[in-house]
Amino acid sequence: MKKLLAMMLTGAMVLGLTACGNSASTQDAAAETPAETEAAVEEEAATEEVAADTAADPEKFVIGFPWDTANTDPTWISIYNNVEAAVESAGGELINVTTDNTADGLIDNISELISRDVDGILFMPASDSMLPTVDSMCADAGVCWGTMFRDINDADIKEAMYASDWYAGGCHEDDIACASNIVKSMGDMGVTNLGVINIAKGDTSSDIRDKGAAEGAKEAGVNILNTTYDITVTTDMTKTIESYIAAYPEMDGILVLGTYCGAAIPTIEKALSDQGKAGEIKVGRIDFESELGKYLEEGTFHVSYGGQQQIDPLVSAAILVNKVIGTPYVEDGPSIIITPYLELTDAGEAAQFNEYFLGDEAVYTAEEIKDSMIRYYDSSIDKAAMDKLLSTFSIADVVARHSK
Amino acid sequence: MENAAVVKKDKTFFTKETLLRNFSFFGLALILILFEVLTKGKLLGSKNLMNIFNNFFSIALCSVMYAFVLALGELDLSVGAIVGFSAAMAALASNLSIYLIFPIAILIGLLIGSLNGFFTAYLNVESFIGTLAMSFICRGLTTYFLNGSVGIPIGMRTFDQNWIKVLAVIVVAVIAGFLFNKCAFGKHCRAVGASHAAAQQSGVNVKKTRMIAFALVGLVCGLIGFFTLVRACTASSKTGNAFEFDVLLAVLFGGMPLSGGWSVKFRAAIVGSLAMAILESGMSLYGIDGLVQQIVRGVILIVVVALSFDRKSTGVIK
Repeated sequence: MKKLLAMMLTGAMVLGLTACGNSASTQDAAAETPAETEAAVEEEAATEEVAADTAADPEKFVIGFPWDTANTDPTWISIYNNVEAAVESAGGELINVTTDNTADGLIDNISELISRDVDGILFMPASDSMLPTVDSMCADAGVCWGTMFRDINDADIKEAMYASDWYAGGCHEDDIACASNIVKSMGDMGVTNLGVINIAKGDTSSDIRDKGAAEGAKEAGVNILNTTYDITVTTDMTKTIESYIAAYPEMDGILVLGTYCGAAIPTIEKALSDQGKAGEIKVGRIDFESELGKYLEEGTFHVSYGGQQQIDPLVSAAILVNKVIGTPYVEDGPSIIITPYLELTDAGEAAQFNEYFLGDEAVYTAEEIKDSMIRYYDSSIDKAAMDKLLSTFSIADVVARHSK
Repeated sequence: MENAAVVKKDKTFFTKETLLRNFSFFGLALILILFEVLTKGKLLGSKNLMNIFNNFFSIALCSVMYAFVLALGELDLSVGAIVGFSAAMAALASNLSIYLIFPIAILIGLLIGSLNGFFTAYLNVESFIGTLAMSFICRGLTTYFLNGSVGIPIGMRTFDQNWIKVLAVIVVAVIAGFLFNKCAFGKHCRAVGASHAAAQQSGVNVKKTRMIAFALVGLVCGLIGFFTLVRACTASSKTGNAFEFDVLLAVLFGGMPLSGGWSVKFRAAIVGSLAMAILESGMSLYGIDGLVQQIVRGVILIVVVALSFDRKSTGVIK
């Protein structure tokens, strides 16, 4: 019986692998069906007509992207979708390798992507200290690389990376200002004693958000009671909130400066509700998530700064794509673009965020990216133009462009 | 007559017993062929072979020494944390001198491994509990001392050379294989795993055997910590994260029972590590997303355990 079951599982796995894989071989095979071929011929003819009026596409290129595709959180899926849209906007192909987002894991991922002949690699650095290694590997292989979400804080490493021919640049947010502003916003709401949750120490964003929160707390007269780092699962989040409530009866605010824990806010709200503190303790977080609208409406969640989780990877990928196809925004040095944080305090906006930021569509479609972010097609696009474009980016802007 | 004998021999080769006894090899071949076909030959392409080796390297280094602990019927759940802690301490030591990186990594690994052995052998703490506790201690100390992440000079990548790693894995595997199959120590480990009381009555120094087995695992974790550090040139609180599960999966893939004793075969460490490395690389190369990869690992684990362990009528875990 065990053997039979084992054989059946093996068979199911082989079938599953065949069905789930998305290698080029599968695509090639699919393209060979007569109906597809006919459609492809028609499409090719149509494309040729359009090509007469527009510039030719750049040469085919491949971008490697280490990302945790096992994470089904809508935000993480949307990050992938936005990167994909940027790569496809200029006719590129995106290759994913699954990562644990640790420094050594990312180094292995980058090594693997280099061996798969990619032209560029986009990733979220785990630390500044890993970047010289990445640059060295990419320089040896002649592969461009770009970062997303993270600034380089170490002055020496920053100088060395900015001098590299292979660093395309990247997008990041003004994390210090954001953390400072959200603490001050909570201070304005009457919060005086704050419990904080943040990403693991050593993570670039974690460290500077800590710094920003400390600055904001000093300005607003808010007392930071404690900071807990590196919560990645909901059970730990629940325990942390329960511990905070038990240890600090004076706590009147909880701020999530950052976390890789999925469904962080629903977990916090449940823990607060169980302790009879929902609505009484004000809750804020950096980075939007899908359930915020519900709690904003109920009055148990109060403020969030975010929205960058979609635009940041999209623009980071656009920076890398432009570098790979030979039309960088900045000729001498990396293109560094700072994306704005959006503030969310309204349930209506939260609903729009869910629909237009966390859906299948990127915040700029591939066509929109092609028209407004790819310099190859329009030489007037440069860093200044990108800054101007991003200054208009908001939830309302995305809704206006994508509402049907 | 001779032909008849050959035919008879051929007939008996594919017996149920033979198939099950060599299941790990057939499993390895199956994974290899499956992904070689699915990836249209890219799996064993020259460019991907080093990726397979890099996947194989750390897991194999640890698995070959882990065989001694498993032969004792014990577990070491701290290997990932030891790798992380030794890398962290070596990275910090590099601020004093880069020549300290290697000795500090090795010494820290050996020290933690010896502590694991001491707790298990002399304080009679269950290895499952003792090494789990040690894992928490090492992770906590790593986070405390690093306060984030620490880099080492980029020049240290000189040691991340393929030939050095190939040499290291061969040397460690040969030494471990020799100890396991040819020396009294390997036999003592299996004897203790088969029957603690019988081994003791036969004159085996059970405590010393346990102590050395855990110390060897710690030592090799220090070595892995060194290679991990020179590869990424950075150590963080996440270095070596979940490595213990990779090693456990590898030895199970190879058909090694966690119950220890005489049924533990050294080859299982190598075959299992290779199967894991090929599986990881094959799934990634074929473009299977992370979620499906987890499911595949789980299914394979169940299949391997179901097929390879009932032949001896021994439990996977005592």
